[in-house]
Amino acid sequence: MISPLTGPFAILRADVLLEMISGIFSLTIALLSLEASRRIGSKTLTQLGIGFLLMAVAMLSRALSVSGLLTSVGEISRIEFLSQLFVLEIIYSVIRVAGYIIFIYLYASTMGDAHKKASIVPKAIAIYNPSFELFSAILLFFVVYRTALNWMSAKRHFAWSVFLGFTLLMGSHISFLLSNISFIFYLAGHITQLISLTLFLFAVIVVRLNEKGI
Amino acid sequence: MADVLEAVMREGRSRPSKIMVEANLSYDRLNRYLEVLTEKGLLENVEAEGVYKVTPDGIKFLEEFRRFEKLAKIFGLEL
Repeated sequence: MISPLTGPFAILRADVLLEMISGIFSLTIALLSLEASRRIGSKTLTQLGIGFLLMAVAMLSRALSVSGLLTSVGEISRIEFLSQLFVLEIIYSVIRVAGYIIFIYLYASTMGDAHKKASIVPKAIAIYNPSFELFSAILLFFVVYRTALNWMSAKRHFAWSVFLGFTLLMGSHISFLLSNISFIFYLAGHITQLISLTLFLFAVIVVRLNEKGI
Repeated sequence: MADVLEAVMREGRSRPSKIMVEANLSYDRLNRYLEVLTEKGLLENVEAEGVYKVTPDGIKFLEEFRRFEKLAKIFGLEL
């Protein structure tokens, strides 16, 4: 038997809380994008919305299921707890990677070159690494590169926020990857992830408020 | 399609040949867009004069399109 308040499981509570807030932010961005796409019939905004929606589903379902698992922690063995946590991680990883693949497709679509457009998604899938965090960081590198180009070339208001958001999101996966070394990296990953989603939400809300003339 | 609406809007009312140049579209594609935009009630075909004009719904759509275009652009995306 294990206690939810001792050892690494105490950290999971901070994980759940931070993941829940990040999930809510991601869901808000998804809903704002999907609402915009419904009004003007834009495929681009639909894909952006679906990408954030998948991220939100992954984060919220993990936060809710892990908190549910934590409440039953006194009743199940350590092996059972860890195996259920492992299954949840697999489901979480698959949904989240699906969201990132949509982002990759979306940014590849803006490249304009039909050949590159057609080849980049299969390449992204082909470099699959069993380590979800490493795979996610590699996928996001392309998105970071595209948003950096957008920020540097157009100097649009708040494009820096999107670039920094994706950079920190990529950083959060690298931090999670290093969490075996120290729990500091684990917490840093969640905090970085939350900051990145705050930056996306900030950019989307500012643009939406400006459009209303506020 | 927003380019077609913008082209008509700039002139107030416009002939297809002018829209084709302004929106940089082929004849076939322009005809398809004009058909869709007219069906959706965003453009009105003034047959007697051979011109198209933007409807109030079209103006509203264009305003929304411009606003949401900003949202896409901060993400480095094109609508």
